[in-house]
Amino acid sequence: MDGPIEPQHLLDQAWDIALIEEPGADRRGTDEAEMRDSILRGVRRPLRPEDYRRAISAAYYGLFHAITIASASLFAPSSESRNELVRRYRHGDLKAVTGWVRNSGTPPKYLTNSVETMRQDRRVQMVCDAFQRLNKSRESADYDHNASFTQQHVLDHVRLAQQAVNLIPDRWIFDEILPGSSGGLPPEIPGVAEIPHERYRFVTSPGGRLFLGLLAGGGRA
Amino acid sequence: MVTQSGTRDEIDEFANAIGEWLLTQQFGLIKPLDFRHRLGFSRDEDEPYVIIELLVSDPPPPPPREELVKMKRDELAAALSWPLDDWKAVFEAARAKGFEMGPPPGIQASWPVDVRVFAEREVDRNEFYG
Repeated sequence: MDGPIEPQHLLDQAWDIALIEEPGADRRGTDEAEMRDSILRGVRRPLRPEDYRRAISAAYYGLFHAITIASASLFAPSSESRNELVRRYRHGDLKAVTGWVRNSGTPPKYLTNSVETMRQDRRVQMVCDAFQRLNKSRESADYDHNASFTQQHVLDHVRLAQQAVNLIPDRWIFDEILPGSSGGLPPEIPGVAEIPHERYRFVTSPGGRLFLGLLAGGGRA
Repeated sequence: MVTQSGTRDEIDEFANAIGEWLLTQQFGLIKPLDFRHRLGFSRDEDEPYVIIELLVSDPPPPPPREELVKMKRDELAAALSWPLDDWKAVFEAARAKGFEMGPPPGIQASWPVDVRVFAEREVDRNEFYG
């Protein structure tokens, strides 16, 4: 099979695990129950701790991809160029910039105004908060052998990821992108567009890598 | 890694102070009951952070089965847990307290403390304290 990564599908994977085997929650006959049953038929075993770990990781990746796709859509109008652009985004860079937005760490001086603008946007704040939390939990889920996970723990993380993803439109401002030069963005990617900086804030890493463009103020919810 | 001699006691003191403080708080429907702590390590940070594993009161009981079976995924998730804002408030409070106290040497300054919330109904107390 092929096709681009769909963030909601990653969240669906996480939901499937988070809602399996909840005591007393007999959901036979519903569409979702049938979906879960089909997965269970393939698994044929009880849930293991690794399933919960994978659910948290999938929830994180769902949010990660939702942010990068929305962000890249600001710059790259075509799906082809967008798919190239999202490969440039790094987990550590998103962790840094979302941390700046939620007052953790200090942004470079040239980004102070942009970060401050993003801090004023409640929607951006919530997405950044969720990213920070899920990034931390995902790290534990994937690497910390001593970490404990429960269904409740997974359920709440998946809810958090879904809430954040729901706040991110598919393309935050795509219909308002102004065609033009790349404006310092990777020139080798075709279709990269320049957008009006007075309304939108773009953050690049100190090394100059593009990694996050967030709409701050206005726009579609 | 904790490299400075003597910092382990300071870290324990820092973690216990936050944990004890959390036990005095109520976050909407979430009431902290007990805690333990350990260190967490990030792959891209040299210094560890404090993880407080917080045992909390159970979410409200789910509605009857005949109602559960009719629910969509989001409704079901909400019915099986606390209000999401209450859950988030626990982390925000711990984070703010950590910054207010100031992390001891050897602990990440940017993310000194994290909380793992465990519902009482899912955690056997003996296991939790094991």
